[in-house]
Amino acid sequence: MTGGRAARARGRQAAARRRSFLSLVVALASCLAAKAAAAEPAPSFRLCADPDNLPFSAAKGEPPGFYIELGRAIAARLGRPFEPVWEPTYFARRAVRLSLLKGRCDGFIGLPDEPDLMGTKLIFSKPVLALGYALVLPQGMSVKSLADLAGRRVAVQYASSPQNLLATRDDVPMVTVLSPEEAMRDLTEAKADAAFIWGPSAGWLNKTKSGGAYEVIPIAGPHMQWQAAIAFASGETPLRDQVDAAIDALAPSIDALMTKYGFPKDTPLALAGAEPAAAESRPATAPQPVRATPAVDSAAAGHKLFNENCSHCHGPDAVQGERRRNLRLLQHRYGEDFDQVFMNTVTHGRVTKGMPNWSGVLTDEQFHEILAYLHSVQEP
Amino acid sequence: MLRNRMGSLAVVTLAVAATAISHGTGRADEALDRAVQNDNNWAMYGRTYDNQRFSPLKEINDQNVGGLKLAWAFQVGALRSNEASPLVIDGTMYITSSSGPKNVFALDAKTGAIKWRFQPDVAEDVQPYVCCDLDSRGVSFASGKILFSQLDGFLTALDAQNGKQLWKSKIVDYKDGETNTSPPLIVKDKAIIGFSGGEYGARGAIQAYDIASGKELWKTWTIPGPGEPGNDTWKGDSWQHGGGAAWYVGSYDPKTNTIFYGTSNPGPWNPAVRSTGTSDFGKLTNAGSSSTLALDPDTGKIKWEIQSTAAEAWDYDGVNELVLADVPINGQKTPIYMKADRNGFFFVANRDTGKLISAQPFVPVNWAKGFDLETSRAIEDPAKRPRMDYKATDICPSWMGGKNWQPISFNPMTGLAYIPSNNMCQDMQLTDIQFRRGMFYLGNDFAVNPGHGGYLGRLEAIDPATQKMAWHIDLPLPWNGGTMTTAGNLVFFGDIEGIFHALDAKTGKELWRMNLGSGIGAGPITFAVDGKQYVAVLAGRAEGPPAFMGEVGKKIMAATPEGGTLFVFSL
Repeated sequence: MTGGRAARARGRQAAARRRSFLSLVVALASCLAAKAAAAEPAPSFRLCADPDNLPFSAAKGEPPGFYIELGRAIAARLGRPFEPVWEPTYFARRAVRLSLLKGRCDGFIGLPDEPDLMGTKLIFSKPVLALGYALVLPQGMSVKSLADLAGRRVAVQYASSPQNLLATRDDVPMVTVLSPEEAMRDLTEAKADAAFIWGPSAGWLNKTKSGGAYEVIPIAGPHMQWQAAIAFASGETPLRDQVDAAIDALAPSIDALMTKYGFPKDTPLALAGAEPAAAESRPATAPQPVRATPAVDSAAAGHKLFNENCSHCHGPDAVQGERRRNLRLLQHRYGEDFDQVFMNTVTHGRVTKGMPNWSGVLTDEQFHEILAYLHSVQEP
Repeated sequence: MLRNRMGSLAVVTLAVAATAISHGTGRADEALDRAVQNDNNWAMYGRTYDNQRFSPLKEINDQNVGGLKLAWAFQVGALRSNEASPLVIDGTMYITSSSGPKNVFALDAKTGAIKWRFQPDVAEDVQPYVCCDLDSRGVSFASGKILFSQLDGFLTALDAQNGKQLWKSKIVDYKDGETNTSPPLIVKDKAIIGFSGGEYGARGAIQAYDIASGKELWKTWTIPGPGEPGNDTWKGDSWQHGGGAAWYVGSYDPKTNTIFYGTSNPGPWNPAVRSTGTSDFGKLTNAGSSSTLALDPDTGKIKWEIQSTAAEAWDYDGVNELVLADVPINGQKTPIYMKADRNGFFFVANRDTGKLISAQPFVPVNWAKGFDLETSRAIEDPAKRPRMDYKATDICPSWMGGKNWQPISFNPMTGLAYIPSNNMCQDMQLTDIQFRRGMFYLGNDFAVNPGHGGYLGRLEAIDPATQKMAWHIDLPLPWNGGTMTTAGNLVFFGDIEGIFHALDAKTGKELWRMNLGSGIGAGPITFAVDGKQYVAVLAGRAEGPPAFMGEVGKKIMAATPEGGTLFVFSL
């Protein structure tokens, strides 16, 4: 698009936004009965989505995908016609830059509410969907730990978090695939014994192609689970708030849509042995964390545990340039709630932020040792 | 790494040529051969098969270049990332614009008047699959045809006389993240070409097409499969998606009937998937990736290869062009290739035997303390190797490379190679990059930081025989344009701020400059029509790559707007 055309398009969109905002004000000012009689039709609710991304969105065919059905439901609650705007999401930031931020749509669905994504250019709705990687197992196979996968051929997607996780072990032969479809095919054709792939796709394919032959179990852990939301250009707070209200009201519909598309709904399972490795590669069988001898020096034991288990994200010795991950600021940030926030976080995780649930991986005693260590390194 | 998939080292026992590489042997495409032998032409990307970007023309020289004036200019009709080297054959210029390409033109090389224009049908939705920008590096000429690659995965042939399409062959599927940006190498009856997409699950390949019909004649995977030597340098089934794409231009030595290609980084980015993930990678070197491959153009068989970065982890794509020359090594004229590698080392190797001669840093390098010529391995600093769980900081050079695609040139008269280099460093932690359905990729961007020493780019003149730097010019920004050199003792290059320079090839002294108004990436060319010499360069600043260069990228974008203008100068 040339600069001139882009500028004109932006001008048109800005005008459209002003119109839509005006009509919104008018609508709100009127009573519900008057709304139906409004002279001008409400402007479309334009939602950017990927044109070729089932089970989430598809420009052609039926069903149209979870996001499109949800978009229609939200538009209906806003009292506006629904208009999908198709934008491939292969390169995410570029897609947002070229569509949403140029005013070609009002919202972009399927983005994580993460400041890393586009900084302050975006604001987000409430999460509309939790999604992430899942184990796909034939009925009867039980996997509770990474060791349970030893010797099994596991299909993983190229350059995915499960591939990175299993690459830390030598005893799980991986079958590398480029798509969930390929993984499910390998399972069916007995080229793989299990798959560890993108969960919603696995659930959808299991439902539509495999007759529900497999169990799809979401897995917890770093880089495993996310929450998808709808992004808006910053400055679109009124629309975002309306959409949030619609999402609240649509909770039962969202649940029904998840069922329709076969998305896994279970709480993600924390695999034993899947805790992130420290810098060195681990032996084939992950050792159980050593029970520390009763605190001669609890902080010193915590220091070692921290560097073994936490430093990959929070930095060796808790030295961390990224402020959000800097655990030397916990006192500063939480004050007297420090201990409570720490215990709650390690035992529940903050999955959307990449923080796994460490329950069952580390003991209570070990949590307290790490806490003692963190207390010893707080910045004033 | 030195490896030979044919079973034994293909040592070619030919008498060492006493003269510079001959351009014509009659074994190549005859029309191209004639065109290349004519000093007035610029008949292929690097002017000749050796990719030297050297012209014997000297009407314009170090005594009179100060009087260079605009002869004509031409808008190629597409803005940003104009990276093409125009070809000039017998008074006709052939050039592509960026964006697909959007346009292919044949022009009167004296006046710029359009002879024909071809607008290929390029898939409109290709942009989301392209890593870096909508670039096109120009066309190739062969037996009355103009051949060029399309971003959406096609190789297309036109009638050079009238621009009518003769055939169009699919090389790759762009929806797999594989695209084409460079012109093919023409050898005999074949157009030889690779593709981009090393990060997105591709297994790199070099493919040959029949110039007459467009039919595929051979395809050689850059990454060895089961049963091929080197397959055991890949962990598990990782070779299947091992990257090693050959996305830039090839070179050809008719004397030994060998073509040379660089290959990109291995995939996926996390080396633990395909190697050990540490500096102690043993035999898991990921053969075929970040390498130089020597192949037989008739069969596609690999003769030998030399890996520049083993078990690569930094985006040190080894795709950089191979420049062939015969230079004195220890007093003996030796057939070499030289390569200014992304990993910061300037490699010189005997191109007949595939044996390294020297490898020295040409930019500040700290990921390795040196390069062991015997084992063909970098001596790594383990602290500079990023991992999934470890952020390595201040790694030099950055993913931009000591040099990126912008071409170097070599002047046999000065014995110097002219390299546009980048002095940038990076912090890097590996992260998975899988496109997830319904969820945007969320990963770390690689932070790229200014290098040390107060300059970010350099034009440097290096003697490949000695690895000594003869002279250099510091530049305030990286990502500067390619170079061209002439028998008139001149070096031409454009910088990212849009200034086109003519320098004394021996001393680096600036003799002429002109502001062309948009950042320059493409390499300049020179040619003569009716006895008059011209110098041409396509200006048109990149948009894609500066977008991932942080603060430095902002400076690049602030320096000039995008552009798309060909400038032609003469005395």
